[in-house]
Amino acid sequence: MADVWVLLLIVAFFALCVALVRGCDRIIGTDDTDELGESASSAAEMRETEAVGVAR
Amino acid sequence: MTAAGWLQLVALVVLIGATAPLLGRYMANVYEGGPSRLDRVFGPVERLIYRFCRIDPEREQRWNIYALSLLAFSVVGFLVLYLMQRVQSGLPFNPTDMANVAPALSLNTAVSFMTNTNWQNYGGEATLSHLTQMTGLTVQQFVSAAAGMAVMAALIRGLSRAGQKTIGNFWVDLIRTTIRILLPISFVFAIVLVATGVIQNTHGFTEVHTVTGATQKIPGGPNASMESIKQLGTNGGDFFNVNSAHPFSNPTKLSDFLEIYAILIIPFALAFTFGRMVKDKRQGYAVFSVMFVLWLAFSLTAMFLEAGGNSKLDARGVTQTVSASSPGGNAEGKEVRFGPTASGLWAASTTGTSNGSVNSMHDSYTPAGGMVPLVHMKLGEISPGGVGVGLNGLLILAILAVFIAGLMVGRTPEYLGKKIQATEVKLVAIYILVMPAIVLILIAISTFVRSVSDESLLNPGAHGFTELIYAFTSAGNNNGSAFAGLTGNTAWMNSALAIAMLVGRFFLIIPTLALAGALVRKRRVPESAGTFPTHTPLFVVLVIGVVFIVAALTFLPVLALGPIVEQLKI
Repeated sequence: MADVWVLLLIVAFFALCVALVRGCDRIIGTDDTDELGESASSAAEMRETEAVGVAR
Repeated sequence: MTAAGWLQLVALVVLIGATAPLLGRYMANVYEGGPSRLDRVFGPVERLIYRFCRIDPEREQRWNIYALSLLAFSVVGFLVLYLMQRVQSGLPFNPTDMANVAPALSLNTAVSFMTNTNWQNYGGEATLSHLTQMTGLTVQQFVSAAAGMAVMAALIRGLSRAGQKTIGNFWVDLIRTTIRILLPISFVFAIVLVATGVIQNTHGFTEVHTVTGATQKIPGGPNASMESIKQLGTNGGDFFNVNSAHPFSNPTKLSDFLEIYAILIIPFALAFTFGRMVKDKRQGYAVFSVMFVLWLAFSLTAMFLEAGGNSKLDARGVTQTVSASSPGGNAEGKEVRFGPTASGLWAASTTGTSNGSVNSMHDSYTPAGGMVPLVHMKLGEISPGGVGVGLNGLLILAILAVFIAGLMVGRTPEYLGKKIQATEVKLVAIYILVMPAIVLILIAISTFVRSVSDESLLNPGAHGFTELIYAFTSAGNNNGSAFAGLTGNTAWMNSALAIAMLVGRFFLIIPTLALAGALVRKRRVPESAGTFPTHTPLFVVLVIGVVFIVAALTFLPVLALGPIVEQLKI
């Protein structure tokens, strides 16, 4: 029975690892949005910064 | 500090300075896939493995596939090692008749070696068969080290390439690291160790009669082959329970010196590998300088504190000076053949590299002396760090330093021509926060667990708390060195330390690879007047400052409750 618990613990941990891989992939964004050499989120951030600058 | 202590330190620095650039150049060639005179030897072996495992060496991977490959490889490694321990009594090559290992201890040991930690809750020669040690633990010592170095190669490619999507092929990096770097160097070093007196045989226990008429069991085993990769791969797990304090693992002053060199050489050499791979050797020198300054500072501190001894003993008339029969200083828990200074040097080197092997009992150090290895681990194993993962940690801190410099003085946050933006800083933040979070949370929970106070802690008060801090810091940083004075083989400690090791390994590797994936896509921006140079002494000082600020802000409160309060009581 203890072996089953160990197996479950390991499966659960590596499932979390896969979730973290997906989470990090979302932070980075897709390759297609990177034509200017900047990631999707950073490009969005720049647009946001510019908008704030205009508002000021 | 004794003249012998100074001599050992100077000789070590000279030897590392002479050989690290050469090894660094060789390793850069391995990771760049350049032609080598050794291709005739290693090429056919690699091609055979590629064909057998159906690996296409020309096919590179995006970062997430690289990460999933590493995870899959680690799961299989865990399962094989776990199963091997659970059924070892029925397997061959068990001359010492070792029984099957209990599930919780098998979990801890399998996780420990899969994650390159080598924390030893098991009793070395008194728990595991020769087969488990040779084909279970030692194989993991090779491949877990190779996996860490593969991740490092991927991160450097992320920095050196521009406008691409792939960061290499995990299987190729793993195989090339093992075949071309770790195996040949370990083979040669194992022979050197045998020459210094480290044992390598297939014996079980040999029963002998002592001069007083008692009987004693002398252990045997294939030790030198394990000792070699244990040090070179910054693993730290020994064939014997008392690790490198055992005379069969570390018999002489010369073996001690060579083993410290083996612990340090690959991590230091990787700084030069980095400089070559990014086509700017000055960057490698800067990284090497950060590693070297930190390692030297911690080594000298530990050596001086242990050579100085305990002031309370002086007050009671106990002599702690060097004499013909005593190495002087704080000698408790230390081997007479090494003495306090060499033990201090080992302690600082093993905890700055995520090696974790010990040649003395850190629990017996002076409170401030014992805090040196503890704080050294808490810096995140970057001085010079474990093989591969140490350089990763330092590069991530360098990126953080660039970002902070950008905030402070208005320079453009760039590292090696890559803009450091929100994406990169988010991934760096995950990396920086994971280790302290898991270490501090598990320490906090453990203080409420009854089995910890009743069974695990052997000392009360601040010293007992330091033992607990040390255990989780060691596991969370994948170091594996033990403070001693703590019984780790309980259900809670086996499980909690296993979780700390797993999180400390994979939750740092994943954001590192993601960072490589983010950086590899970026195009290089031309250097401008606003670019902060990252090869100057100023940058070296800035990175060291960031290292200390991150560690100090995170861990000072918990240290104040342990070793600091204990030192103030003296």
